[in-house]
Amino acid sequence: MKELPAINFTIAQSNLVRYAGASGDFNELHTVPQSAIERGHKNVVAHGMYIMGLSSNAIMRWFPNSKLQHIKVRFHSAVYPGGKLTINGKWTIKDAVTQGSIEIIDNDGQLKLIGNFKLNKSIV
Amino acid sequence: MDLSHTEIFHFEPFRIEEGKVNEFAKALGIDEVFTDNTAVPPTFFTVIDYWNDRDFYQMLEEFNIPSNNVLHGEQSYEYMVDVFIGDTISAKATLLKTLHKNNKIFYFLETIYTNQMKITVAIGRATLIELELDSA
Repeated sequence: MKELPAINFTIAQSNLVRYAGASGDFNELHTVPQSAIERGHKNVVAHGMYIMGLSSNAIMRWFPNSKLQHIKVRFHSAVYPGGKLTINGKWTIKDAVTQGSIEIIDNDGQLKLIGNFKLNKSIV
Repeated sequence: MDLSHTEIFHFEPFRIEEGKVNEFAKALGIDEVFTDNTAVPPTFFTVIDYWNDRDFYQMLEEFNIPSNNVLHGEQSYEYMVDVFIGDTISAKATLLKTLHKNNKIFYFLETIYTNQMKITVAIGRATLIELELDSA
């Protein structure tokens, strides 16, 4: 498996507001700080689907001429506003199919997401 | 007691609007303008689930899953056919299995998305995890 260039980004609280509106998921865990705090969190929690969306963005950036055929992710721990995250990826070609793995960690090394993906054709 | 059972939920057919696609893409930081011949972003199916007249939270209610006490554990998508602006997507969700394990309840859901030509465009699979707080 070959390494893909790491992508770094920071989650702003306003990113989550915008994502809530765009996706239609207004669950208070993601939108109302007080409600998230009452449920034991330090702030609103990023939507898992937002983090998955950022993962699929990374894959499309790594392989701009390919199409995603399959993606599977597991959400490991909550992402909060201000979180500094790194997306790492690895890839290989097996049976003429480009496939890879992806992970997101924060700057304390805590795992946020792991996953794997397949693209519809290999492009090197 | 057999805890596994099957239930089905139909979302309302959802027309893919240009503005909604571009708003969603911008929210994800995608630096591209989506037009009639650009396939929607891979996780756009979430918009179909949540902006629906029969939405994800109504589905959870019908499946008896407590929306304020579940975590999104896993999600996958399998893509068959591109979805474009102007398509109308139908979605049928099935609660495939419920599993009690280690004071948690795992719900396995599958949603099949089909376009106006009745072609399956994608299959989404989710695992939701409920923490059994009052189990002592």
